[in-house]
Amino acid sequence: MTALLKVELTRLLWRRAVLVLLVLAVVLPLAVFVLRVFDTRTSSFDEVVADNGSYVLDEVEQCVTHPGQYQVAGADDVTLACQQVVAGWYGNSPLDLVDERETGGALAAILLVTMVLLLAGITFAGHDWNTGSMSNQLLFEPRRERVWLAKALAVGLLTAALAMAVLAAFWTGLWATASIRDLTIPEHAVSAGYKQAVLGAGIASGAAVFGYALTMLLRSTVGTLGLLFAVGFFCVVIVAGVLGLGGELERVMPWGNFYAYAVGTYEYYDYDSCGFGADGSCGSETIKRGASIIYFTVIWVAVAVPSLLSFRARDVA
Amino acid sequence: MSEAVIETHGLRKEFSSRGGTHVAVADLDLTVRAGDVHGFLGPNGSGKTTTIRMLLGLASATRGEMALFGRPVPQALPEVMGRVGAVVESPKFSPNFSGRQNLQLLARSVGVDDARVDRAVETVGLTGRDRGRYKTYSLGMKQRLAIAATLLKDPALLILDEPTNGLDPAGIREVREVIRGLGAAGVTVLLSSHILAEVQQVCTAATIIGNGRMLASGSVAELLGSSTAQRVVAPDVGAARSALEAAGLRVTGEDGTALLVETDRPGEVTRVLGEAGVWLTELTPVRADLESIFLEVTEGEQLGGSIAWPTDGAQS
Repeated sequence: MTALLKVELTRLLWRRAVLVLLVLAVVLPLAVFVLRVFDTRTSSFDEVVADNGSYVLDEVEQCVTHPGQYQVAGADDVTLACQQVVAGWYGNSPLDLVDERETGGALAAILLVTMVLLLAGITFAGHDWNTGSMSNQLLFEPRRERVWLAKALAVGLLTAALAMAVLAAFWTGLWATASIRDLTIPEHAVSAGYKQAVLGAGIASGAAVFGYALTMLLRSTVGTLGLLFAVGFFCVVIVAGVLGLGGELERVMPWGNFYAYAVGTYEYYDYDSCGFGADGSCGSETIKRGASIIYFTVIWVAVAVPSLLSFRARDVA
Repeated sequence: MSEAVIETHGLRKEFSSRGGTHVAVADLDLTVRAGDVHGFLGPNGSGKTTTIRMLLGLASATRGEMALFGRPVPQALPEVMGRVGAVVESPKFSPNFSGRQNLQLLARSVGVDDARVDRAVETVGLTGRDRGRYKTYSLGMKQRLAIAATLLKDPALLILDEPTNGLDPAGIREVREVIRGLGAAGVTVLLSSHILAEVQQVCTAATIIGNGRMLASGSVAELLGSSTAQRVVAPDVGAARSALEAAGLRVTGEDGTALLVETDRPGEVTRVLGEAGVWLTELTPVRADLESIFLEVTEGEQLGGSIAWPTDGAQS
């Protein structure tokens, strides 16, 4: 099995399309990181004026005239205080590690890495079927379950290592940026970030193996991509129609579960209950990380098990 | 008699479709003995490839039994596959990898080192071209790479499915020489082909199938049989005919200068004609070839596909 695993890792790394996707899994989060660093840089007042026009100066003039309204009355240098306040409104928000983890760049990085590695898993398996080389491989190793598992393991291990390295580097970069800028770093923000990187690597690797398994089941790259697009477009209709879910729809949607998995909880409104509360508001529901793990595991197993069984039983062209 | 390397009993494969059930292989009994270069003959669509795919575990049998080296397959495939090299239909490798990379991946999956890859590449004459991308190979080079892949395992049994398909005459000759060489080295070969001349030239035994059923099987010599007719050329064909028929010999053809006499005893012909005072100018035994054998055994069969008769360009 070790020899087979090494062969599959080699096959994976020799495949150019897969390599391009692995490079993308590094480049895209890097681009997000650069954007976040750029967007959260400290701007001088002159930069804010240059970016936003003369009404910034008008606002400062108003502030100097009515410092009480801008809560700068009593400042040693009212003009400077007003410039800082107005620059804070119009300029960049400083880097906030908690925001980055819950709604910002770190979340985007996980999502991008997950999507790209899903495609890598699909491409890897699809190539074997498209070229017909699967039958050749089975002439050397007829134990099909071992072949399936070795390929899955190769995809899982490689993508997990890559995703872990990329997401940990992303978070280290954010932490270093905040430190260099002398920003206040909330307690546990860094450890929470690294925990999220580990979770992100888990879901990215799981998605890659999911893509591999689905392609092994359908035996076609195009078929797999078509199915995923169709589910992406029509899943709301399918879930609402088939399962008869209304306000609870979001409970079974991928996005909310992805957010709950990466951040810890996801809160959504159950629109069916709108207007029935004491204050007429909509009742809110929460998806917790544990529930989202069950959600993704069920989907993963529902594809991986038939994929393995089908590969064992069906004729190979 | 040597041991059977390949055996099938009542092997059957059915494909279900909307149009009904198609029987690709119908209760086939096949035996290939150790040391044979065994031709597996039949028109396209006769079930040759399906049979091979079932033997190699790529397709499941609807029913029947199969064995390789006396071990039941597909159950025992993991233990016997190390002694089996196979090319099924057209070669299938990763197009963007070099020939060498393709071989290395296969070799490493069974724990074979790169030295064996070098030897296999050399055996099939791909040295120097093995580092080029597979997609840039000619069809002949692809076939040779596929044969090289079969040699990685140092096989005792080679199963080759139409290995000369699409090759030019020089390529066909090269592949045949490789097969002959392997057969001479004691490797048992099952050579699936629809080219009768190929089988007749290379094989020691043959099985003919049509519509998934076995029509004839045996050594090539047995299938061809001994000479059963003699071509007689004499100055006076009419006198010769009269003398032969008077002696009870059956004359089955006459073209004005020659007679076709149905007998496997040429001495009897010379004796009869000599006693009648008719002097021969030529006596030639007429041997059957696989073409006629094939036509004979498939007479009455509704065979689909086509069979390739010997042509000058295809012979070596």
